[in-house]
Amino acid sequence: MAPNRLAAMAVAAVLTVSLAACAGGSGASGAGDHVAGGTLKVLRANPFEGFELDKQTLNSSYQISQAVIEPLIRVGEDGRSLEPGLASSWKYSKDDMDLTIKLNPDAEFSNGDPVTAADVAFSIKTWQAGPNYGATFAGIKDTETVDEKTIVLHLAAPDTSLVAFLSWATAGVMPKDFGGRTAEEYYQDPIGAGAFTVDSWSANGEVVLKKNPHYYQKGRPYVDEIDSTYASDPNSVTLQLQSGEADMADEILPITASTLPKGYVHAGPKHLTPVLVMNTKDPALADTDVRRAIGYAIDYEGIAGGALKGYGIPPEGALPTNLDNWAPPSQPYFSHDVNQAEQLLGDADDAPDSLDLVYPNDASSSVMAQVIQENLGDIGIDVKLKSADSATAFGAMSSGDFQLVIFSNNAISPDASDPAWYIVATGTMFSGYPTDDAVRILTDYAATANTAEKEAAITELQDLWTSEAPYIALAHTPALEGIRDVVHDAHVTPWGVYYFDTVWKNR
Amino acid sequence: MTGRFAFVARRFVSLVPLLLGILLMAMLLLSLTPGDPARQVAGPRAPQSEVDAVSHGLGLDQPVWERYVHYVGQVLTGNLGSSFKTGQSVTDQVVAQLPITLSVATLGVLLALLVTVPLAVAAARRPDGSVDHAIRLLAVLGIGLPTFWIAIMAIRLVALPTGWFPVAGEGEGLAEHLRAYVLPSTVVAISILAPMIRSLRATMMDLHDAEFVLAARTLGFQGGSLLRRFQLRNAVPPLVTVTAAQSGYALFGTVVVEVAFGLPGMGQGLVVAASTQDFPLVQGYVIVFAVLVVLLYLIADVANAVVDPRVRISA
Repeated sequence: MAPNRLAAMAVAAVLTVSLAACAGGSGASGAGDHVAGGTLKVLRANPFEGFELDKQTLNSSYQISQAVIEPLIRVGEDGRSLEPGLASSWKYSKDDMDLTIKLNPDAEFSNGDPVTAADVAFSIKTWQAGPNYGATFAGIKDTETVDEKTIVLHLAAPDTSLVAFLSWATAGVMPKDFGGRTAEEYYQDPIGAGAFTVDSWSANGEVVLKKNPHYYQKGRPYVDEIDSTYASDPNSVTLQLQSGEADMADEILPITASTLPKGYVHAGPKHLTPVLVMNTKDPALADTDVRRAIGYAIDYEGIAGGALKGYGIPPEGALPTNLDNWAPPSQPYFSHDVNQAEQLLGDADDAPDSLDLVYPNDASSSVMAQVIQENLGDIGIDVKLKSADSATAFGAMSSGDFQLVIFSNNAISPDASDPAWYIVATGTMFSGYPTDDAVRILTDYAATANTAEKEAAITELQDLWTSEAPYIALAHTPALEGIRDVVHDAHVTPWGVYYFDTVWKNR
Repeated sequence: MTGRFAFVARRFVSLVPLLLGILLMAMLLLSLTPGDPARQVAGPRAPQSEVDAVSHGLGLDQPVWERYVHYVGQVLTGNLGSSFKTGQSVTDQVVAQLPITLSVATLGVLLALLVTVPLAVAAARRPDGSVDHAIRLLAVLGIGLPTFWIAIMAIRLVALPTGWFPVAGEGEGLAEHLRAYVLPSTVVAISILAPMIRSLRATMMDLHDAEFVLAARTLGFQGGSLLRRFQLRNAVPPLVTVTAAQSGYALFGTVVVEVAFGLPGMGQGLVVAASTQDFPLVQGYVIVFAVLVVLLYLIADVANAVVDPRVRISA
């Protein structure tokens, strides 16, 4: 739910993030027999935030932690479905009030201890205690251990979305009582049931993972070691891929992608959604007509073609696309219509003359900010641009100290409600717009297993956020990944995360 | 020796208020940074009550002066705190990264010195000649070209086509480390070279007409002997001072160079810590960089006192 979100600031991320469960190209598709061995050298786009799952906000962190502390359920190769993982099967009761999970009988932690229902119960309690992601699992009223490998989650209310959220990297399965250590000790040197163990790690340096000999998926992982290095400079990313010093680069920017050989760039389905957030608590943006006028003033084609180097498309709705149960709004989303914008601005009680726009200082966001400045200038609003590093921009937004800010949104599980819940949980993505209606819609969504009803709920939500415009989606873009042709089977999800255990490379 | 010891001791004592001032400024600047670091730590979805609790736990709700006093007390015990983001020890992180930064900066300064002396001497030998103009032009280019651009060009024009040096990272083992430091150090050297060449050239030209040099000439000293025994030796003190100043720039230059070459040193660490508002890490880096620069100047002063009798270290 909040993958890149922070870094997302670096929309870049957005615009960029990783790759492609896509076909074509070596990185995304299989290429014959798997070759075992070797070291996979990966460049990550952001610092690693450590193994404390609830504190993770970045794809770079999810990518690493789920390789060690694997969640119960995996995301399918298509990026839109769920697959068995540590949980070999799961089933809701008829009233959707209980979820029975059977664990893979071969599942073991990297120290050889079996993964048991007691470990899962402990992990759930730990997730629930987290201030960030805990609310998502708060609906699990209690757990019941049926046997060592079977657990039943008793829910406070029907929640058919829960299984999708159990695939989050932040829902990793940990040994009961942290294996007899304190939480602090565990997070510094964790063990899990994932494909890899931790050899060494630091936030901005190298994270080295070694193959877990106890991994339950026989034959995997294919590579012996993962060397993940933080590369903050896009030039360095390009050069390391070109020289062969790196095998893969996660979450590359469109501008970086444009400098790589074509076969090295893998673009997944368009999903990442950069947005223009408007502070509805600010008097200048309190009027819905003003916010909608801004929505119609923006040249989305210009953003998709310019800022996103042709990788983006104009937005089809307020929510990230290419997710299970996603549905468009009942009316077309915002498009570039200056007349409509001027008319709405004329209807507004108190149209602003000028607005401040905070944006992260990556290349893509910078161009988007300039496009928006020019577009709003066309309807008589003078936009003052304020560039900031991603953390500062996020800080301004999360503290409500902004008028306009460029951010981004994406899922971290293949369910349309995933990014929607993030938007709600962050006060309609920090705009201050009330969340009551959205919570009601999403609760209805979770209560039904019927696809048509779920899609209807998503349409209702899209309509709400289109008509009230607390934020404007600016584009949908694919996650972009740089992958050399020696690397295979990196099944990258639409939001840019993949499993290291499926990846193999030529000798 | 007593005089020298007292001189060094006095210089050390005089550094204390300087370092305290630097630390205070760093904390004040960080406190002015927009955004709430407690929110960064608590996470984007954490309720405000959790953010407030984090803020209290980290002492961020205390006045700056209180945090300052607490931090100084902590630093005096060698404890630079823990990272907001990862909980890892700042001291451990700095200690792990310091050798990389020091290696790049030191090699850069040594390389710059190796290049400076022959070029400055050559330039001073025929002032306003073609060699002099060419060397001065190179020096100007060294100042004018952005370090980051020089780094990218070094990678594109040297590392990539030849494969002699890694594009990024430092590899494993001493030999690999040294191989990885060659280009970054060269870039650092280029970025600090110009003032050193210009300073030594100017000194050499002044010395060319100095009375004691003229006297040496009349005594029959010429060529290399005159250069080494009378000119270069007397040109050393100002070169030491300039080199010390440029060494400070070299240290800060590592910030850019480490990012460009993907070296996990203190420079890159500082950039990341600042961008994630990880205050303890930023403070740790700032204080270590400050101590290094201050020590450099101290070493330069002592070195000057040793090589130049005119500097009265016993005063």
